[in-house]
Amino acid sequence: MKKNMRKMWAVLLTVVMLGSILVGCGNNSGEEAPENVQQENPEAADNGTKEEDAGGEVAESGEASKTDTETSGNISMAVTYADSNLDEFKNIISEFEKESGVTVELITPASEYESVLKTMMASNTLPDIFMTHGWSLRRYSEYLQPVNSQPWFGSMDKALEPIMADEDGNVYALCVSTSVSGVYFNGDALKKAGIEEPYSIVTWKDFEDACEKAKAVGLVPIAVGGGSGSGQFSSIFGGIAPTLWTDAGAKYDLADVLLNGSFDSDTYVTEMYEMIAGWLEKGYFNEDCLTLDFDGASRMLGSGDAAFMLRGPLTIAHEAFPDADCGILPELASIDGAKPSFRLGEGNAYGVWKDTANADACWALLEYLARPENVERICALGTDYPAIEGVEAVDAFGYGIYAKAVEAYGDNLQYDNLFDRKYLPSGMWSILGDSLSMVFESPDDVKPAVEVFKEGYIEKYEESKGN
Amino acid sequence: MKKRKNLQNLMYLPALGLMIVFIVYPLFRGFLYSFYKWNGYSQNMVFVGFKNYLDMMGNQFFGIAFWNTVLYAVLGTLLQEVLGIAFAIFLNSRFTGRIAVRTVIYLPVIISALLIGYMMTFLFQYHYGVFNEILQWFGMKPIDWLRDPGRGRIIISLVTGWHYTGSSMIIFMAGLQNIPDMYIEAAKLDGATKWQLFSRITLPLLQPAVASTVLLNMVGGLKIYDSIVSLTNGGPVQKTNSLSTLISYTYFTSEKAGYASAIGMFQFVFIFIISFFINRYFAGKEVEY
Repeated sequence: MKKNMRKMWAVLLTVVMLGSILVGCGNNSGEEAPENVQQENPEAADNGTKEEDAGGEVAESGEASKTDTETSGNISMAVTYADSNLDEFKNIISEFEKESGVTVELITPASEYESVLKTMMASNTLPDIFMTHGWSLRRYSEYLQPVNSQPWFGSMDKALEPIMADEDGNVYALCVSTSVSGVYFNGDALKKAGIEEPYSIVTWKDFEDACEKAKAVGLVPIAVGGGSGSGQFSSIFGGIAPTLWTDAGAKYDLADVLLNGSFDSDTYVTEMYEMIAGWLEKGYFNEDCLTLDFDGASRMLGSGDAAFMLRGPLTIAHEAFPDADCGILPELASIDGAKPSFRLGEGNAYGVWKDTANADACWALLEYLARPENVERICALGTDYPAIEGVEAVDAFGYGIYAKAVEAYGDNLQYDNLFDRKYLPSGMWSILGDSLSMVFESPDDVKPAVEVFKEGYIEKYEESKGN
Repeated sequence: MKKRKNLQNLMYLPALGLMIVFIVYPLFRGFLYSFYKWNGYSQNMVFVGFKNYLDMMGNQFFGIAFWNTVLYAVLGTLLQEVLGIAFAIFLNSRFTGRIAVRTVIYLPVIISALLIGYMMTFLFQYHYGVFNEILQWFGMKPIDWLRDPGRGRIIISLVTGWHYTGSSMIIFMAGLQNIPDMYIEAAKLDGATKWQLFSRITLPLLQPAVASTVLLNMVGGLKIYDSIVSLTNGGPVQKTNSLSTLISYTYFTSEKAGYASAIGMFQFVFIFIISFFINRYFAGKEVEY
């Protein structure tokens, strides 16, 4: 009897332990997982995100560049691409290798790219070429060679110069594509909500009306993947704030006070946070906005369960649901009469390490990447549009949806740089996210969230002034 | 003899070298960085003295991470100790399938904590999570399990405790093997109950194993990182961070390498002190019959 009881417990224990391991092994999302894709983020790659470790190889830290380039025609290159994007980029590199005789060793840390690069920077052992993912000027310029003397420099989109050039006009990376930030939508979901023309949405008031209609038909108006880290919220902040504070014709003109450190956070941040808290209270966001990851939020949009997303890119949504009618709207105007705005940033950009031992090979590779046929192929890796004049990457999904929006809005559009890059002191990115995420957690009282922003803004501003 | 001893001493050198390169030197550099304001990648650093330590003491996110770390360590250790002893006692007797059961209980230990966390998110996620699917079968509303920081902390502790129970079990099983049967038999002859056998014979004689497991589990709990990254990523709003995840976030995302180093030094000293007191407490507890 005792033996049988013991056997019974043994079987039960085995089933429970095995079950608790195996039950977590399946993909319970109900969808076939698309190949993991690079999340091309113009603002910053989100550190500590938990979307995926996209199968990239960990960089061989510190070993690649100097030793390899002392031999003939070998250079190392760090890229953010992963999986299908990486495969396509490898094809481009392979063709370059055949043409030039240079061997390129790709370093692909995938989602850990930023951390790996920072470690390499600290030890001053960077790859010969590396992607700057929006930070060629603010972070990497002291490690890069200026590109102004290169033959393709003149064909880079002049609109990028304010973002990429230092005080002396030096630009530090070849930028083949421009990243665009806006408000993302699913056209099929909007039609279901009775909104036939998404581009009729011009102001945040129009947006709120659209959210109400989406909610009325059982859709999630706005999908947010807060589980992927505070960077999700940083992006939302960076999208809404300039429409209130710095865009031409915006509700307030606060560009100067933001830059001179006298910005009144208590008034203006409180107002913005109360607007967002109001959206939360009206039920515009998905219930798991703080725990759902970006991958899940993208799928929600792509599948038509959600109408809008305030943060891109649309890569995951497009790959998972290629037939979905997804598109991009500009960041909406805060008052009637003001123009909505697109925020522009570096897309696919590559810089040459200042201490590379094989500069000729590096420049040869950048010249190859700057060729129109390769710019098209690189733009097609994400949702960017070309930043080399004369190239019209019509096959790129991102270019297509952006071009549609530009055509629809016509003259009723304005453009500006990424908000935190232009108007906030360096290092504010994580503070924006920490602060706004507190609003999502406790929309009843936005004061603690405003305090976090205020303290961070003052601290970073003082640091930027050398105090 | 002396020559032989000198030769034996040389055998320590490779291990000592590795320790110096991978432990001592990075610790020393981290200690130095804690006195500087540095973004982690620039070639320029600014000496700020003890400012990083003072900032740390007044920072709300540090306070949250510290108490979270204590909770994860204590709760995780408690779970591993209780379950570890229970499984060890259960598996100490012979029955068919004993080895298979032991293997299955130990299996999670060999899986990376990051993967365990990702697997567990499929249980707890709001949409299509196993627990919410079960709730919905019974007509109940789904719960966003990881939305509430308090609940998230408990889940992290439970997952960590479950993950490493197998290793505690193995240590306790080894300890049980060292308890002479004659003590148990003598106690049974004297009419001891099962509970008395456990509390008066087994547990006291398991003190060395308990000391080892408590120390290992507490130190492991105080350093917890992977499962938090995969389960909650420190959220919501940095409220489930441990000291380790806070260090990573501060260093790489907030770009405050000096400040992160200060937190790291604090964590090192804190773990050292805890380990010291654990060792001291258990030093006097060993029992011999």
